[in-house]
Amino acid sequence: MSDEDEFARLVTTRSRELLRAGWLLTEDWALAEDLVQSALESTWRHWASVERRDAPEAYVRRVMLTTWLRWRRRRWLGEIPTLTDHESDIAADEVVGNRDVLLVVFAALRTLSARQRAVIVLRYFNDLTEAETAIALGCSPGSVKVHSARAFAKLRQLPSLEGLLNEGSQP
Amino acid sequence: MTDQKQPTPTEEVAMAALLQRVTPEPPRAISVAAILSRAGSDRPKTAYWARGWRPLATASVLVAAVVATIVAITHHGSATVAPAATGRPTTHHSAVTSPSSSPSPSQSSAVVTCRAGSLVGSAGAAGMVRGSTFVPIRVTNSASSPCSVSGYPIIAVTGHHINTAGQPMSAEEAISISVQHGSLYARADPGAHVITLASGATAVFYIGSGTGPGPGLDTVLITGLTLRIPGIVGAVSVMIGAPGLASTSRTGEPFGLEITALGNP
Repeated sequence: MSDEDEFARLVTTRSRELLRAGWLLTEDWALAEDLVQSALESTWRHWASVERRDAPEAYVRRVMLTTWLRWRRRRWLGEIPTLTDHESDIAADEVVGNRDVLLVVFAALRTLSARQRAVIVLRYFNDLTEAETAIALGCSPGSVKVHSARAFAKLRQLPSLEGLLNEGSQP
Repeated sequence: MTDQKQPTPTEEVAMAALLQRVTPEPPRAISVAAILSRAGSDRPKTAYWARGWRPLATASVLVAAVVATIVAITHHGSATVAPAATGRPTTHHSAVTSPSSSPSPSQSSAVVTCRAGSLVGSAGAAGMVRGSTFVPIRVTNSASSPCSVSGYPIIAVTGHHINTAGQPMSAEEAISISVQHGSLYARADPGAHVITLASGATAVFYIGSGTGPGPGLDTVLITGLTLRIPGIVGAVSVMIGAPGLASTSRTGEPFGLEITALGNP
């Protein structure tokens, strides 16, 4: 299989989940697409060494998270989009459940620091292990545990989210 | 002070479920062609270490050629021997390799293509890597003599449509699928090649589904398949045991599956 075929397979099979994770980070489909496309472009430019390490998806995710954290530091995302801003991107019936649930979740995620939010998305949306999350964020697994604990400490204090989490844990 | 205890398993499960629940499908897919066209011209052809050594290797070859020429000119008197010594091995080499390569086609042609009736299909345990599920399908030669199989099997599948709780919503029925050849996320594609199966030997290929459940998607649980192997008349039926192979698609669209070529287990 040629390099192009291998890369196309990576994009075809993984871009959906990368986009959805990007959306949870940025709250905006256009930004999520920019994020994923930038990461994939970088991956393709370094394909020979990425493929040799046999972990192209980990490389994409690392670039994606590094880029997003840089955006956050530069406050490119200083204007936090509201749901109304990107309602045009999401058909009403595509938001599973209802609009209020989405508002509550995004409001909760905004209370977290960038790294705490990234840990929540990577660990619980992408289902990565602490070690894999650490690689994506360029930190130690111990730091991931700390970010995760601090994030949940903040989220437990939000009564609106508490109800949803209890509801979500029902079988 | 804030409570900084680690999240409980219940909290972790609830958070994962909540994030999956609120995250819709992307409005647009990422275009491979767009990325390749934007990044293609900047892409290094090889890894940095290979790029670093390639000019050095080229220079070494040039230096060796110059030295050889100087040596040949310097020892002009003995040059009548040198060309004969350098020329023979190459011609002998090619003369030796061509006869040795000729028996292999005749050996492979001696093995007949398997008959569908002598092949027994079975499904292995389904596996999952990062949300991509796959199931190995084994094809065993039950005849007493060797035979060969090759290529990407042509498959038709049956199964049930299921709801979000995993409960069947329909009786077993033929499922419309679109099949892509190549490596799965979890299993590499060996590519189409001839495999000689001794009596009782097994070849294997993998069927995978790279999509998970999500909003606006139909989910199907594949429980059976019929496979035809290129060049072999007849079909082989295989039952896929629980939990089966799940696949999703947008409503009304065929369910996407990926398969590898037949290879050695």
